Amino acid sequence: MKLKAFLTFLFVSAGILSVYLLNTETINFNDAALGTETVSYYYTDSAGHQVHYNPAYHDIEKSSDFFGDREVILFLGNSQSHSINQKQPGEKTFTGILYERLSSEEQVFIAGSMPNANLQELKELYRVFLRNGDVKLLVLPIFMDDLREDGLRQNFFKKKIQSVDKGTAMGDSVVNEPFEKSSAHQSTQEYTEERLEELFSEYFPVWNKRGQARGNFFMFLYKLRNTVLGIGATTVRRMIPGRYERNFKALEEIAQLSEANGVELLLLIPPIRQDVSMPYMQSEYQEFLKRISGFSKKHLVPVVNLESAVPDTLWGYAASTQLFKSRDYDFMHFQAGGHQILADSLEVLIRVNYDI
Amino acid sequence: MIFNSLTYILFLVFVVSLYWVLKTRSRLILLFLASIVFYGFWRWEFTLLMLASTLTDYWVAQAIYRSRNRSAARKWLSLSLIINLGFLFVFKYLIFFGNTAVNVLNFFGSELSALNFSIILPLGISFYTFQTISYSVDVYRGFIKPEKNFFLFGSYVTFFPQLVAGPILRAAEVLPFLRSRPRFNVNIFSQGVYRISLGLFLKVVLADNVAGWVNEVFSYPIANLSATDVLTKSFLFGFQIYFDFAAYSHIAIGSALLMGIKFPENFNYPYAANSLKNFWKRWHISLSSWIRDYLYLPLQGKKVLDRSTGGLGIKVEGKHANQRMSSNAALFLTWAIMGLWHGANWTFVFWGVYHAIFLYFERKINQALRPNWKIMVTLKRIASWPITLVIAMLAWLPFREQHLEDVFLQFGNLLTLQGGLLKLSFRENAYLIAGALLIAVSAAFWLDKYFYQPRKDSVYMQVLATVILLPVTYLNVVFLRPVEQFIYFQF
Repeated sequence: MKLKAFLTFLFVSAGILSVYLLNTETINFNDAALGTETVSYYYTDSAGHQVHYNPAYHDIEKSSDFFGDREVILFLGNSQSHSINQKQPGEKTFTGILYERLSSEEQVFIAGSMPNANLQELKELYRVFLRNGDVKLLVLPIFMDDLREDGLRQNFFKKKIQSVDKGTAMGDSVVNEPFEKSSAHQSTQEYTEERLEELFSEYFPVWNKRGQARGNFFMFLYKLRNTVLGIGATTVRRMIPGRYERNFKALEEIAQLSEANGVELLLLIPPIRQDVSMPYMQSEYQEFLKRISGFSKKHLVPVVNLESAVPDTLWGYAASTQLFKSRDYDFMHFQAGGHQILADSLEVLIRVNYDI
Repeated sequence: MIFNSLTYILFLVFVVSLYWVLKTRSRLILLFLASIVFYGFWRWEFTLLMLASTLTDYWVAQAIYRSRNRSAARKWLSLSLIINLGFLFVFKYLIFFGNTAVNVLNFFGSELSALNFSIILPLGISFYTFQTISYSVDVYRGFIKPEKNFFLFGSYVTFFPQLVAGPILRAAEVLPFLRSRPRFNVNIFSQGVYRISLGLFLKVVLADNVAGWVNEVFSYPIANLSATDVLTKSFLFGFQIYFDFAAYSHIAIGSALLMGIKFPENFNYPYAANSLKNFWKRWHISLSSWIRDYLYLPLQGKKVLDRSTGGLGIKVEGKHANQRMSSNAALFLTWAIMGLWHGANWTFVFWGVYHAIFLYFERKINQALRPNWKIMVTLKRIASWPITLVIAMLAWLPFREQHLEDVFLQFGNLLTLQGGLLKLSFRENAYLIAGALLIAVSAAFWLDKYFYQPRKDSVYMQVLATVILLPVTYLNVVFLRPVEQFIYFQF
């Protein structure tokens, strides 16, 4: 039994020590799925103004000074709008190109995006832009892929949401609402926990890397799952009814917000790679197109289908989501040539239809 | 204070270090004060309520012991029950029963409004109330003598490892440890470290991460869920609550072991049970044992036991001296109260009655079906595990849902096999995680029973059993965040 006691202390100590030894690599999880061929690029103009925002990185509240009295043409989307495949120096995203072409003393083109942003998140992002600028037109691509996502991610807003490490759940259970917690009262434990977090973060740098380590762990599990089950970029992914409905509800709310604020709404069916079969069930994809079309008729909102706008030659590869495999088809991100084509199409659409 | 926090770990290191250098009396004062601090870290004002309950039973138990006859003793016991259950009623059930009364009166034509105020549920009130009641009842029954040393008694009631979510311990199980002066034993201490590590793993790595999926699947519109969805939901929550509560018990047992105090086990692979009766010998054993000895058996006038082990399903030999209630009536009443103990909502009452119904049929089937052929016995044994598992898991639906109609709707979806078995409404990972956890929990049981236990004294096994602490500790440090309360804190 003495041996077991000795080994218990040995392995617990080794486990604590390994936290120090194993957490040296830093991965940007937002870009983890892009691969080496594709880079994120949040456009800033020559004067250094942020034009393309990611709410997790950039403080949108500061944008009102930059907008001034100008009307805002707003584009909201996912990583397709802020990533370029095989980017060469000087190349821009379509949002950067549109900023340069459409901005003037009367109006400014602005974009906001996050990887895999779902419509619930884009609705929240839209609210922030509505608060900070005189939005005239909202251009909104609807990605079938992102309708599988749900809720607001923890770090959605740079400043709005507390870090997960510092959040606590030591509130009160209130009778009749067993799973709700009161947030008004801060317990001694919450106070102490916050101070201890600060102390540990200051004196043990590795403590702050625990979020990174958790991400690494989940990334490993994700790749392990994909490897074991043979899941890749071309694997057909189902529509998830609950999430799908919540995202369409968010789209309804976006339409209501637009109506209430006098904003024109333009929906896009975004470009998708055409040289390999789409990773969706055909019946579900057709239902999705039908639903968008129905929404368009109900709210008198135009929808433009750009799914084949980017030619096959301008798409690339992404990092594989499996272990022991380096790359896989990329259905989302294209080269600078694709951004150019999209910018041209959107410029004409916006100028012709919205008197800009 | 919650276990899955830096605050608790530092608190525990401080208290345990001081505990081993102090003498017996000072140790008791330390444990009592540490327990008050532990509780006060949630809300200081509610320590007064806990102390009121403690003081009540400290005095009442002595009065019971001094009573000259049973009648006087019974009066003192009634006083303890009125005060303790009164606190519980006011803080936990007042609004529930108030609103139920309003609904009933409105049904008959009144136009009363529902009670429009909230009451904060004092942390652990259901647990320490049961503990103090059991103490006074045990003195009344002559199982123990009342404790004169207030700090010793106070330490028993408020002992921080088990204060807010059990195990619910009998005085006879803990007082001897507190009264004596346990000598430091490195083996027992290391067992404590082991149990705490295991508990933290179950909580911060498993339960808290499964919680996100549980919250998601319980947020989906219910009407369109298929039978597979309903089963997946109940299995996911079943695993979450198991990991969460077993984690609390492991950490409680481990923390007590660091001070040389042994608690009885509260869980024993409940999902490996091959009958519902067996399930209740393995799940929250201290509560089901309490219910057995202070409610179920007394209701039938049967002889009771004096230990927090064995659970509700234990076979009790004894006289049917003054049979007060039939065994079946006692079964249903006990389970309805057991449900209500968990929460002031009809969903919990239904949860209790659901268990009673299946336990009743299990009894009847066992009486009627006594297979003589070996093959039939084997078949019964093999079939009984998955059937029990599904019944036990589905019971978690009313436990987690807020409205009874949602529960019935989902049971309806399940029974009518709505959408067939292949219609999946959740993200694929929800099904994968539920399946993976089922395999992992089953594998853990089989490995422990057939591989580890028969060889546990060999050097090879000792190395193997402890080497898992390396990844477990790594993940515990990485995932240690007090972002999710223990589910049983709300009871």
